[in-house]
Amino acid sequence: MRLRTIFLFVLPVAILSLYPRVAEQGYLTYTLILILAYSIIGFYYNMLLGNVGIPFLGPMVPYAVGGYTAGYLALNGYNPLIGIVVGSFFAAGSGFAFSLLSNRVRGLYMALYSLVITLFFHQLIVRSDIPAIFHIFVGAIGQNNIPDITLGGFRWRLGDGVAYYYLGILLFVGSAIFLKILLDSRFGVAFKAVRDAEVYAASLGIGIFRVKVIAFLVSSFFIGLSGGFLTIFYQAVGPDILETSNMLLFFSMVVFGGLGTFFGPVVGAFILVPLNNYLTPYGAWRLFAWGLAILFVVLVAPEGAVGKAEHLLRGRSIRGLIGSARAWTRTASGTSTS
Amino acid sequence: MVETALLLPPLLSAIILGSLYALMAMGLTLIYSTIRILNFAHGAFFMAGAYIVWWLNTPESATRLFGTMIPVSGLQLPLFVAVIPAVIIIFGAGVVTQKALILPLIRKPNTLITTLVATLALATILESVATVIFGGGRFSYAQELVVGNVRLGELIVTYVEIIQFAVAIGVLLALYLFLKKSRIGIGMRAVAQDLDAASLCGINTQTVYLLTFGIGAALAALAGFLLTNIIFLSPSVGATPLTIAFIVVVFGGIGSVPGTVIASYVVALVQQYVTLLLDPSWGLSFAFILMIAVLIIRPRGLFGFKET
Amino acid sequence: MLVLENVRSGYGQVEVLKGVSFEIKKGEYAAIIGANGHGKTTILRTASGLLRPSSGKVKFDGEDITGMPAYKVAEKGLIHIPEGARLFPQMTVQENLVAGAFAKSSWRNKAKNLARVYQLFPNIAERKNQLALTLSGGERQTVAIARGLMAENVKLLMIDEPSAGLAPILIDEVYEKIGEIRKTGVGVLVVEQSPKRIADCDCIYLIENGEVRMQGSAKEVLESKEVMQAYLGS
Repeated sequence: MRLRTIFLFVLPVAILSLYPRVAEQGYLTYTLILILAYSIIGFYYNMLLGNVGIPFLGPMVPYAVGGYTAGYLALNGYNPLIGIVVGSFFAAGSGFAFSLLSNRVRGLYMALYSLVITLFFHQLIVRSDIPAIFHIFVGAIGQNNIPDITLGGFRWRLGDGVAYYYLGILLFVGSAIFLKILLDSRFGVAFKAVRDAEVYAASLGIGIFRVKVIAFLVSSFFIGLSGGFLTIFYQAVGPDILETSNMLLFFSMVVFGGLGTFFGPVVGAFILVPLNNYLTPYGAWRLFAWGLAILFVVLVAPEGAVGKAEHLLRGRSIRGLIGSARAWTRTASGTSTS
Repeated sequence: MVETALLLPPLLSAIILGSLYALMAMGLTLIYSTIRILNFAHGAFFMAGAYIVWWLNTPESATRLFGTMIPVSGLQLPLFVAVIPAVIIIFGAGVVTQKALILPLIRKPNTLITTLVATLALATILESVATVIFGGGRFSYAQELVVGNVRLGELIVTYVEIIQFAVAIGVLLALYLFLKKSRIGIGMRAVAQDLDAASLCGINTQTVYLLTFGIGAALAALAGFLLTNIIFLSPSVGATPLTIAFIVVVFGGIGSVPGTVIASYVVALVQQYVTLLLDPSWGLSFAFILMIAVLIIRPRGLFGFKET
Repeated sequence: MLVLENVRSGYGQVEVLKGVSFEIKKGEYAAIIGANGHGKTTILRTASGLLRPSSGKVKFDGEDITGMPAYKVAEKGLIHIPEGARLFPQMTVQENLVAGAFAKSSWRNKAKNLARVYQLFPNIAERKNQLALTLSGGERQTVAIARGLMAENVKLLMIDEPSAGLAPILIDEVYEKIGEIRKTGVGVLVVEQSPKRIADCDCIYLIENGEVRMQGSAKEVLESKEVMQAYLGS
C-alpha cells in the first residue's frame, strides 16, 4: 500500500518536473497528453474487464457520448470544461443503459450483444436521417472546429497545449486515486466476488446487479471524461471512434499492461500511444504491426507486462526484495547474520 | 392490399440472401458450439477467400487500370475453378489458426477475452496484409460467373443468384449429412455436446478442433466468393458480413445449427422487406432492432442453450 | 491389467491423490469404495487419461500409459464410464452408441457391436431413436455402459457409481448386467459409494484422503473396522 501511494505521487511529480524540457518539445507534450488520457480509459476499462470480469465490448460508446457531448456544448457557447463534465455524466448514463444488459446476459452473450449494440449505435449516428436525440452526432461528418478552453483568459492550446497537459495530469491523478480508493473499498471486494463466484456472492447477500450497475456507471463516467477531454483537445470528433479498430486500441492497452492489474493500463498506454504515433505514417503497415504485437503479447504473456513482471518477481513485493537485498549485503560484507 | 408483384421480389432476394447468410453464420456457430470460442477473424477469412479467387482469376490487363502494380497470378482460372484452391487454402489457414492461436489460449485463464483479442488481432493483420498487397481499392471479378437470367412468372432471377442459392443450400445440406452420418461429423457433434465423454469414446478432440476451425473458415471463404459476385471486394469487405453473422447467431442462438439457419432467413426477410417499405439503409438497422427485441424477450436466442 | 504406481494427481493446485498404488488383474472384478471427495473419481479419471498425474505411473496391459490422452487410452481397451452417464444429450440412443465405436478398429465393426450390445441390453433397443435427454436415469446408465461396450476390444470396464440416483430395483438390474459382462471375460472396476452391492468382488480398495487406506478381499474389507470408520466416523 505504501509503495503504491508513493508511485501515485512520485509519478505525477516526475512528469511535472519534465515540464521545463517539455516546453521545447511540443511532440512530447502531445504524446504525454494522449498517454494520460488513454490511461484513464485503460484504468476503467480494465476495471470492468479484469476486476469485475464483464466481457464488455462497447467502451467506445461512453467515450463517444462523452466526447460528442463535450464538443456539442463547446460549439454552442458553453465553457468546454463544463462540456467535459456534463459529457461524463451523459457517458455514465450510457453506461447505465449497458448495465441493464448485464442483468440479462453474461459471458459470451454479453460480449456479443455489447458489440452488436455498439455497431448498431455506429450505424445509427452515421446516417443523415437520424432521430432527433442523436442530432449532436451530426451524422458522418462529426463535429469540427470545437472551440478551445479559455479559462484564465488565454487560449489553452497556446504553448503546445501545456495547459491541457496540466489538466491531463490532474484528471489522471484524480481518476487513479479514485480507482484505488474504489478497489480498496468493499466495492473492490464485491467486484472480485462478482467476477469469481457470482452465485456464491449472491448467496452472501451481495446485490449482484447493483454492483454491476455501479461498475458500469463509474467506468463509463471516466471513459466519457477522457473522451470529452480528448475531443476538446483534438477540437474535433467523428463517428470513426465507434469502429472496431478503436475497440482494438482499448483492448490492446488493457491486454498489454495486464488484465486485472492496477498499473497495467498505464504501462499499456505508455507503450502503445507512442507506438501508434510512430507508426501512423506507415499506413496499413501500422495495423499490421499492431495486430502482430497484440497477438504476440496474448500468446506469450497474456497476463500483460505488469502481470509478467509480478510473475517474475514471484509475488514478492518490491519492499521484500529490497529487504532481502539488504540482508544479502549485510552478510556479504561480513557483518552480523540475522 | 399491396400488389403481390411488389411483395415477391424481396421474398426471392431474402431466400437467396438468407442462404448466403446461413453459410456465413454456420462457420461461427460450428466453431462456437465445438470449441467454445468466438472467432472474430471470421470476416477476415471471408475477405481472404474472395481475394484469393480474385488473384487467381483476374487477367493482368485488368490491373493496369489501377495505375499501380497490383499482383495477380496471371493464371486466369475460371471462377468456379479458382474457388476450389481458395477454399482449401483458407481451410488450411483455419487449421493453422486453431493450432497456433486458439489452442495455447484454451489452456490458460480468461479464454473468452484472450481468444477474442487474438482473433481480432488476426483479423487486423489479415486486413492490413490485404491492403498492403492489393491496395484499398474496390474490386470485382473480371467476369460474371454466369451471364443471363430466367423468368419465373413476373420475377426475374439471374443465373448468378440461382448458383449462389444452389451452392449455399448444397453445401449446407452436405454439411448436415456430414455431421449426421459421417464418423468425423459424429465426432464433432460429440465434442460439442460433452468434451470429456467424447474423449472417453476414443474421439481425438484436438483433431476435431482443428477440423472444425478449418471447416468454419472454409465456409466463410466460400461465402466470400459467392457474395463477391454481387458486391465489391475490398480489404474491409468482411466487416458487414461478420456483423450480420453475429446478429444471426445471437438471434438463432449461438451453438445451434438449426437456429442459425432459421435466423438467417428471418434476418434476410426483415432486411428485404424493410428495404422495400422504408429505405435500404434501414435494412441492417432493423435487423439490429430485431436483435434487441430478442435480447429483451429471450436472450439466448431461438434455440440457444443457457450459459453454463 | 491396470497398475497404478504411487500416483499423485489433482486439479490445478489441489492435490487429491497422494500416492495411490494398486493392481487389478485381468478379468478381475474390483471395487473402489470410500466417502465422497476422497479421490475415487479422480483415480478413474487419472487412469483413463482425462487427468494427467503429477507423479507416478499408470500401466495398462503391460504398457505405460501415464499421461496418454484419453482417446488413446480408450483405444487400448480401458473404458471409463463416467459418473452421471454423460450421454450426448442431443443425440439419439443409437447415435450415442455409434459414437462409442469411434475408434477406427471399432468403427469397422460397428454394426456387429451394435447388434451385440442390443442383445445384451434389449430394453434400450426399443428406444434406439429416442433423444438421450428424454431417457430416465436407469436407461441413461444402461446406455452409458452399452456405449462403453461398443468399443472393439474392451479389456477393463471402469464404471463410476453405477447405482447413483437409481431405485434399488434398477440397481439390481445394473449389477445383473455387470455380471453378464464379466462372464465374457471383461474385467470390471466399479466405484461405489455404498458397500452393499459389491460383496462378490474379487478385491476391494478403500480410499481415504487420497490414499489406499485398505485393500483386500470382499469379505475382509466389508467386515473391517476401518470401513465402519471411513463411513461413519470413529
